[in-house]
Amino acid sequence: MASTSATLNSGRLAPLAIQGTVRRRSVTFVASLVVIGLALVAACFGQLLFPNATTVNPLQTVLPVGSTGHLLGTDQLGRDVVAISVAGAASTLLGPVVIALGSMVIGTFLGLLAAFEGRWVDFAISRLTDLLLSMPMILLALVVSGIFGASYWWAVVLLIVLQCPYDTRIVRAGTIEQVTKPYVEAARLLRLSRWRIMYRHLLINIWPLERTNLLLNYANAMIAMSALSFLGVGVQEGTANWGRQLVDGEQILFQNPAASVAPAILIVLVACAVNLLGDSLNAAEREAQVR
Amino acid sequence: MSAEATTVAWAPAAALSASDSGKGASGAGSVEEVGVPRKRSLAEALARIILLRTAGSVVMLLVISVLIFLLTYLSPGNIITNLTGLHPPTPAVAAALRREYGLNQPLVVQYLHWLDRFVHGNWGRSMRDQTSVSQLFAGRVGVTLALVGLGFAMAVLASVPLGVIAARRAGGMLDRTISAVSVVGLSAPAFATGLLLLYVFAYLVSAFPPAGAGQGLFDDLDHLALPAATLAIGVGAYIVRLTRTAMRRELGSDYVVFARARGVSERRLTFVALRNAAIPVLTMAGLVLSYLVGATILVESTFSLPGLGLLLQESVEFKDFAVVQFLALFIAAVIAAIMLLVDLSYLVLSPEWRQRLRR
Amino acid sequence: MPSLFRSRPAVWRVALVASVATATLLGASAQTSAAVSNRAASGGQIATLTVAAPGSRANLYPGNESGTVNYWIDALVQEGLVHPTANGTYQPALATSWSEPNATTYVFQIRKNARFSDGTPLTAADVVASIDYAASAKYSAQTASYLADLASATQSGPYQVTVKLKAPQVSFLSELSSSAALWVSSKSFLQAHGSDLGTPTSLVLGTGPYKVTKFVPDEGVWLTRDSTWWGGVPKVKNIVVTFYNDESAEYLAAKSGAVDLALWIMPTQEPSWNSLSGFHVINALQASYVGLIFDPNVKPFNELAVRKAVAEAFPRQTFVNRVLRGGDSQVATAITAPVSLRAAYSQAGATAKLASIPQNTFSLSAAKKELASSSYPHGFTTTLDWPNNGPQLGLAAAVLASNLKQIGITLKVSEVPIETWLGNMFSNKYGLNFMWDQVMTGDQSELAGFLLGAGNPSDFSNAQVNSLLNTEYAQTNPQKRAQEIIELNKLATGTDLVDAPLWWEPIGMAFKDGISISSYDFATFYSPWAAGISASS
Repeated sequence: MASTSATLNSGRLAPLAIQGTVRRRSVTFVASLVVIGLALVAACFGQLLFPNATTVNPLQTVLPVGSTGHLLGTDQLGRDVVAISVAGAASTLLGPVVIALGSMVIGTFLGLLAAFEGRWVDFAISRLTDLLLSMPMILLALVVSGIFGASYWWAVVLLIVLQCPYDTRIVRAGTIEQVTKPYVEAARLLRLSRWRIMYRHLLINIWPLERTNLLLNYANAMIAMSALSFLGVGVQEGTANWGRQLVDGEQILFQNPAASVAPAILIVLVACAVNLLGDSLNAAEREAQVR
Repeated sequence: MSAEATTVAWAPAAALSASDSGKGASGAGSVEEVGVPRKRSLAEALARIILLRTAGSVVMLLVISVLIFLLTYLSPGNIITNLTGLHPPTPAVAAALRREYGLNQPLVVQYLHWLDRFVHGNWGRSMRDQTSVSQLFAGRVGVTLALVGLGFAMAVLASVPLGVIAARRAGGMLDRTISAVSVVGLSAPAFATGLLLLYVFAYLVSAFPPAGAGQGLFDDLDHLALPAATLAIGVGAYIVRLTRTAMRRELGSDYVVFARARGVSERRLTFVALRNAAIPVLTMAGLVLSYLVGATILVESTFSLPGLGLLLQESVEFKDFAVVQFLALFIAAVIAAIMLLVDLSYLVLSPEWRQRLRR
Repeated sequence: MPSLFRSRPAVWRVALVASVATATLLGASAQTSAAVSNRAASGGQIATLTVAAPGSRANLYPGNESGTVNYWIDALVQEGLVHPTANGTYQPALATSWSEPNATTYVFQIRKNARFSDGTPLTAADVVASIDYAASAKYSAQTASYLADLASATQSGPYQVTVKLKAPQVSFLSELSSSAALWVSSKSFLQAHGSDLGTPTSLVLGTGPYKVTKFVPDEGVWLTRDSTWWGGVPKVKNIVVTFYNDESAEYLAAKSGAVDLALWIMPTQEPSWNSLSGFHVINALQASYVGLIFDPNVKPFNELAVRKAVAEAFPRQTFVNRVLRGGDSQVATAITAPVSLRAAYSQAGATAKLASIPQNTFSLSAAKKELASSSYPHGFTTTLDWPNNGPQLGLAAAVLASNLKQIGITLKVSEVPIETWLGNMFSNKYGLNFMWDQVMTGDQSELAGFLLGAGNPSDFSNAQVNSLLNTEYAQTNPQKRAQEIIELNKLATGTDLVDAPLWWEPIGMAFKDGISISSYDFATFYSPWAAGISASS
């Protein structure tokens, strides 16, 4: 097996101590951790560090980058870009976690069930998936915001509903491949319950696929929440939120670009960091398994 | 437990399926009895699938039409105000409008009237533009289909090879770069990416026009290049990463190791591995296409393309029911067709699926 | 994005339920066919003028889609009988002269040398057919109510049309213009295409200086010069109007030279456009009104003290100076802008008169006192929606919310599509709303009549207001009328406080250097404006 890994990895191998302890010297891994760490700190303490981030201050609107006291300038309501970006971390980062996880949980449940049971269960679940895939986001968003007002958490629920068909299909495809394999047959012969087969055995094998998907979904969920603002059915005004800032800042894009560009870069950085971290974990796990 | 999973996870997929295909093994499901399983010819099975799916999709479309009807009714706003603008209509005018659009009837009746007309080919009229829905649709479907087609083609043509390369050079610099770049593309919202592309290619470099759909084929392509690229960048990452993950798994399989040891060329191996990795890749491609069909709105908005996405948004906001209904059903039908094609392609490519089918 | 561009279908016009015209010409002797000299362009030819318009258009005929930009585009193609101007007079359009034998009858002499762009000549029969079409709720749903007082329009001579009203309406003349409700087409065209006028297949047919050659909804309109126009041959040969859904895309297009004229620059955009080299922005002042409206039937806004508290919590001057930086916006001292009273007073005089109306001056301490004297001394929670194509309203909402918080009122601000905003305004479920409207005919009571008359969005009515409205509706003396309207304003913004004026904003147009327009005021773009455009050296 050692030779296999040597062939597979066309480069260097990092020495591993024991499975489960990941020690990478990779730069990307460390960088990702740093970015995520900073984001988490901002999310937890942002409101404490900058309690007045969302206070409207008409006397200092659209100050440019480098103004005294405002490193990245201010936006149209006089709010400091640095302050509101830090304070906005919590709102931006939390919702997408719930969306990605929620969608994955539902998708895994339905996908495994569809693939494992087959026949009519699969048929029904697949048609349900097709139906959800076809629902126009703008209509649902409008109705939700019409009924519940501009609510952050209802937007989260909406996006979970819109995202889970994708996860269901992916899990289903991944599981179907596995389902004909001997270990499944073996499990059946051992008269293991279907739930045990699905959740203890199948799930482990499709997990790498799921994990990649989960991280991508996280990035996508951040985007989707800002897309709702773009479509004009946005989440609550005045709350610090990178997606909201990104969209709001477009009006002054050519006067103080930092108002839009700063949150955009933050979104990209965090999404990248999360995904690259996942890659590193994937690779490390693979190394460990190979040993 | 994990040991069990570990050992069987590496079971060579190709080897297994070769040995199983002739036997009609019972596969997944609850069939417990042992005996001579029914065998179906492939053609019969395919026909059965297509028929069932079509029937199922029709039912689904019906359900969707009811949902859309209810949602449009529930959405905020008032169709009479939308029709008359900011003027309070005189009671006579308001009453006349209600009668004309059948707004006084109970919801169920309104729905059934719509359904009756719809299945007889009368798709209705836009209250907003005063054009027939079919005309409105015909005028705009071309732009969206071209946009989606071009965007999808760009995404696949760029992403699949990149995913393969990343898998083959896993762990190396190239792999990391490809992964990072693809995630960047994925993490920026489409309107931000679009704006960036506009800034660079329509302003700094003046290579492409900033808005509109163009006249004539080459002008069209010129106008669609940037929007399609925006779409492709947004979804390409998914294809890159999933291709990579799936390929990695295949390339790490025993059969690949054995084949390599026997001296089979890397290129051949890549093809075989890709074929086996095709299932998740195809799934993703299908999902990406479905996503694009419904999600062109952000790009159409940024580039002012007169397509179905913008039309849907405007009609939803206006509560222009006939248009919303038609577009929603069109999108649903297209997505159902795409999913069917993807599932059929699974059969072509994968013995496990064929096997499952023949149960 | 809280930008004006997200697929903005229209900015609706205020209804003129009781609209009153400037009375200068009523009962006066017939007008002669004055040359449209103040519109004629004096510079060089322009082969193609590329125009950038915000948002999306679905239909060319304003009776089907009455957005401001729809008016502006159709004004190049179709004309009304007369045209209101910024100095309070009416200019002849398709009527060369008119008289008013009694308070409910108008007699128009129709222009003899006008031709439609399909070559057919304009006749009185065409005018009658067009008036009927414009007044029909079925065909012109969005603008027909302006002509609600129309009793009949008949051909009374080879080139004469007699229009009778159900009751005297001093402003009715302004309705028969392309600023309000009338766009003349040929009878045969209306018969052939009446049911889908303004669509890409039927387009529109008019007597104006341009004809539409192509229309792609949400993308653009292509127009070309009609040299048979009675007003002369315009210097601009072709016009291409492109709709931009995204304001940054529009800005980039202008920066890269693809745009000659950008329509409707909002106050929040002006700083960017002003700093764009190669362009200059000109403003029509006081062309747009923004204010709060209250519905006194909805708690807690049924209490005057509460309404006062909210009205006094908005820092109008600071907002105009600091948030709407630059751009000629002004604090609104009333609903009616000075420019609307020009038939009675000079601009300075009107400004002084309106400023003497008691104001709701910004003062958080006063607001707090008012609230303390109401039934809600500890505050309450309420909502405020703003339409997503008016970003400046979103900014105002944010500022208001921030101030109200300090006196204990929680204001939940929501961005909504314009249709939702409209629907909410008339739904009588919300006590607080934005009013945002453009001056179109420049009529003295264009806005006040809408905000206080029958069916107004505040669902408000009282005897004093109604009697004033009835009087000014038929008041032929402009000064008396102006006084009545000022009284109405005092009631609306003070005594009864159903409206809190915030600011008047200009409508800006960005012209590329080298292109000029002979004159520009709020009325220009509702008439054949391109006839005034030419290349300057």
